[in-house]
Amino acid sequence: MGPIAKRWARRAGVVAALGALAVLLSACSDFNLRTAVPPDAASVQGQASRNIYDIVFVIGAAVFFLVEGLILFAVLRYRRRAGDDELPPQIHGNNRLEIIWTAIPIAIVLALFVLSWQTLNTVDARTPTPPVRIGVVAFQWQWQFVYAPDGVRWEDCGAPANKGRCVTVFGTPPAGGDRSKWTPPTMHVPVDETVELQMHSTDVIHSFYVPAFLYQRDITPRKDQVIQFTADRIGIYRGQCTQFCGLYHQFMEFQVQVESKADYVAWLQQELTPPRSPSAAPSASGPAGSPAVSAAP
Amino acid sequence: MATTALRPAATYRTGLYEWLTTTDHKKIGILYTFNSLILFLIGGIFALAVRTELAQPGLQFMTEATYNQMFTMHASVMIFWVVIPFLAGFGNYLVPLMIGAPDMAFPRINALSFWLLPLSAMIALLGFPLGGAASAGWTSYSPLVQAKFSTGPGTDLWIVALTLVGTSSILGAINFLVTIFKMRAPGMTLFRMPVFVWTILVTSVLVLMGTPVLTSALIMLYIDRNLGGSFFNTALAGGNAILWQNVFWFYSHPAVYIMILPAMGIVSEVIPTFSRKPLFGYKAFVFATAGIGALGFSVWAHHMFTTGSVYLPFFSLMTFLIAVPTGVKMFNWVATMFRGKIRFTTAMLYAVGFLSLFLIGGINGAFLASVPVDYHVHATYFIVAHIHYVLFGGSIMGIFAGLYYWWPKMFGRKLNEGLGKIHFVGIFIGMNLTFFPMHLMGISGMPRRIADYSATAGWNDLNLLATIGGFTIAASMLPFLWNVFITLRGGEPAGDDPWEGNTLEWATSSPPPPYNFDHLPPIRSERPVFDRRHANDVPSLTAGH
Ligand SMILES: [Cu+2]
Repeated sequence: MGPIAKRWARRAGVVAALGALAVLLSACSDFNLRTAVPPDAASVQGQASRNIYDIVFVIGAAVFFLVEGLILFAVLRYRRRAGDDELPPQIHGNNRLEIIWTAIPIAIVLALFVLSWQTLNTVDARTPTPPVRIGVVAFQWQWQFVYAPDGVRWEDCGAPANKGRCVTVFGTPPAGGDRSKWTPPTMHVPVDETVELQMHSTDVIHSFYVPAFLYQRDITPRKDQVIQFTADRIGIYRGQCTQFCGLYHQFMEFQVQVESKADYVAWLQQELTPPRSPSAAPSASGPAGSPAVSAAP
Repeated sequence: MATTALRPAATYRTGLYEWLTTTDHKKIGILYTFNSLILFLIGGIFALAVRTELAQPGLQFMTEATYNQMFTMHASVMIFWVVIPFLAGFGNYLVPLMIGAPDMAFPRINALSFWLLPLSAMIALLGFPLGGAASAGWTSYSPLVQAKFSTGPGTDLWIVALTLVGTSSILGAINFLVTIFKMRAPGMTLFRMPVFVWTILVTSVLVLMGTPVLTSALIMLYIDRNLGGSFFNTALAGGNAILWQNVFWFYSHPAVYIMILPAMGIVSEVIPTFSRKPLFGYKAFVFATAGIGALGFSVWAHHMFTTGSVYLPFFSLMTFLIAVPTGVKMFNWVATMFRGKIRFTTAMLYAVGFLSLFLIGGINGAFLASVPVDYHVHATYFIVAHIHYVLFGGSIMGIFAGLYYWWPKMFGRKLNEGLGKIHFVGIFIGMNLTFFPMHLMGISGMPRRIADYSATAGWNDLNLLATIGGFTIAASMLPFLWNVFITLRGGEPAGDDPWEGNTLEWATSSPPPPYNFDHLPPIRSERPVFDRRHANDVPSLTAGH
C-alpha cells in the first residue's frame, strides 16, 4: 500500500471502530449517563464523599486530556518521513522542565490529600449519642437488622427478659440459587437522624455497602464495626455485600428504606405488635443455619 | 569471568534434551516466554468464562461454584504465571546481554527458577480434575479461605503452588542482583546500564523484600487449614483475619510494581529506539524507579481502607505521593518522543498504547488514594477497571511491545508487521471495550466477584459491552498466534540490529551465540551501540552526558 492508501485505510478503520461503538451504545437499553457518575447521595456523609469525588474527577480528567493530548500531538507531529535518515537533535534532558513536572504533581496530590482528609473527617465523624442504633448481623449469605429498645443492647435481644421488645428483620434465604425466589431484607431508618450501625459477622468477612450513601465498611469476624450515617433523602436504596464471602456472595443484597420519622415509628410499632400484619417481614424464622441473635458474642 | 567469552567448541544443540537441561540464560528466557504465553491463553479462557457468564443477568452457563473458581484462577494465573514470569523471562534473556555478560551469575539456579513455574502451574490447575480449583479469590481472605469454608484440595494445591512460585521469584531475584552487581562488562557503570536493567534491579529488590513475607504467610495459612493453626483463623482464639490482609498486601501491593516496573523498562527501550533519541531524563527515570520501589512498601494498606483497622491518613498520603514518580516517567516518555523521528513499528505502537492506557490506570488509581472516594468504589468493578488498566493496559501492552521488539533477537526473524498491527488494533479496541465500562459499573455500585447481578440495577448493557470487548481481545490473539507460527517456520530474517537499537544486545548476532559476545563495543554511555553506529557523525549529535 502506498502512504496515501495507508492513511485512508487507517481513517476508514477509525471511522468503522467509532461507528461500531456508536451502534453498540445506541443499542443499549438500560445504559444512561446516570451510570457515568456516582449515585445522587442520599446521606450527609455521602454528599461529602460525592463532593471530593467530583474534585478528583475534574483534576483527573484535566490530567488525562493534557497528557493524552501531548502523547497524540507527539505521535502525529513527529512521525519519521519516508527517506528521512537524518538524526533528530539528541536531547538528554532538561533540569528545569523536569523539576517543574515533578513539583506540579506533588502540589496537586498534596492538595487532593488534604481535601480528602478533611472530607474523611466529615464522613467518619461520630456522635456519642445517635438517636437510632441498629444491630447488623452479616452471615453466609444474608443480613439481619436488629432494633433494640433504649437501654438494651441489640446483642441481648435474644434474652428472655427482652422477649417482644426487639424487632429483627430477615430476608428469605436464597432458594437453590434462584434469584427470583428471594427477597432481600429491608432496613428502615428515619430521615435526617443520625443512625448508628453496630455490625457483626458470624462467619467470614462481609462488607456493608449502600451505593447511595457512597459508603462501605468491611465486617470482619472478631472485629465488630460501628458506623454512623445521616440519611437526608426519603427513598428506598439498594445495598449489597461487596466483600467476596463464598458460594452465594451475589445474593447478599438488602435495601435501606429512608422514611419520615412518623413512618419509621409507625413501622417499628407495627413490627412490635403481635399479631403481625401479613405485609410485615417474615421474621418468624431465619434462614436455615442462621444464628440466633442471642448467640452473637 | 571474561566478558568477551570465546565461542565454546561444543555444538549449539537445540534438541528437546537441550531445552530440558539448558542453563543458557537465553534459552531459559525463551522457555519463560512460551510458558507464560501458554498460561496467558489458559488464564484468558478463564476470563472469557467470567465475561460469558456476566453477559446477561441470570446464571446461564455455570454454577456459582464454577464461576468462583474461574475468577480466582484467572487472577492467580495471570498474576503469578503470566505477568510476573513473562517479565522475569525478558529479564533472563536480556540482562546478561544488556550488561555485556556471558550468562546469569548462577545458571543452574536460573534453570531451577524456571522449572518451578510449569510445575507449580500444573499443581494449581490440578484442582480442576480433583474436584474444584481454588475459589476464595486470588486474595484468599481469611476466614473464607479456611478449611471450614473452602473445602476440597483446590485451596491447598493453590497454596503449595504459590509457595513454589515465591521460591522461584526469590531465587530469580538473587540471581539478577548478583548478575547486575558482579558481571557488568568493563565500562558498564551503573549509570550506563539500560533502563530496563535498572527496572529489573529495583524489581529484584522488591521481590527479595516482599516475596518471603507472602511465602511465609502461605505456609502459615497451610498450617491454619491443615494442622489446626490459628494465625488467621478467627474461629480459634488468637486468629486474626486482618493479619492475613496485612501480610498478603505487604507482598501483593509491591507485586503490582514487580509487574509494572519491568514493563516500564521495556517501553523505555522501545520509545528511544523508534524516536531515534535518548531517553529524556535518564537519571530522573532511574531515581523515579527507585522512588516507586521505596514508596511501594508504604502503601499496602490502601487495600484495607474499608476494614476500619488501618491508619488512613498515612496510607492515603503515601498512595497519593507514589503517583509523582509515575507521573515523572510519563513526562519523560512523552518528552522522548518530542522532536524525535518516530517509526511506527508494531513494538512502538504497543509502547504508545502502554502510555495512553497506563495513564488511565494511574489516574483512576489516584481516585482510590482518596479515602472517601475509596469508601464508595472499593471492591466494586471500578477496582477491576483500575487493575486491568494497570496490568493489561500497562504490563501486557509492555510485554507485547517487548515481544515484537526482541523477537528478532531471540529467533533471528522478525514477526510480521502487518499481522502485528492487526493484533495491536484488535487488542487496543477490545481492551477499552472490556474495561472502560467497568468504571461505570463500579461507580454505580456493582460489586466485583459476583456470579450474577440484578437485572434492574442498570448494569445489563455495560456488561454486554464488556463481554463483547473480551471476545474482541480473544479474537485479536488469533493473528498473533498465526504470526508466531509462521515466523518460527520462516519469517523475514532480522539481521543483528534490525531496529537500529541502542543497547548491547544489538551488538551481537541474532540469535546470539552461547556466552553472547565475541567482542564488545566500547561502553562510554548508556547507548554503546548507538555510539558505535554514529562514531563518525558530527560530534554535536552524539555528545553524551
Ligand atoms: Cu457477604
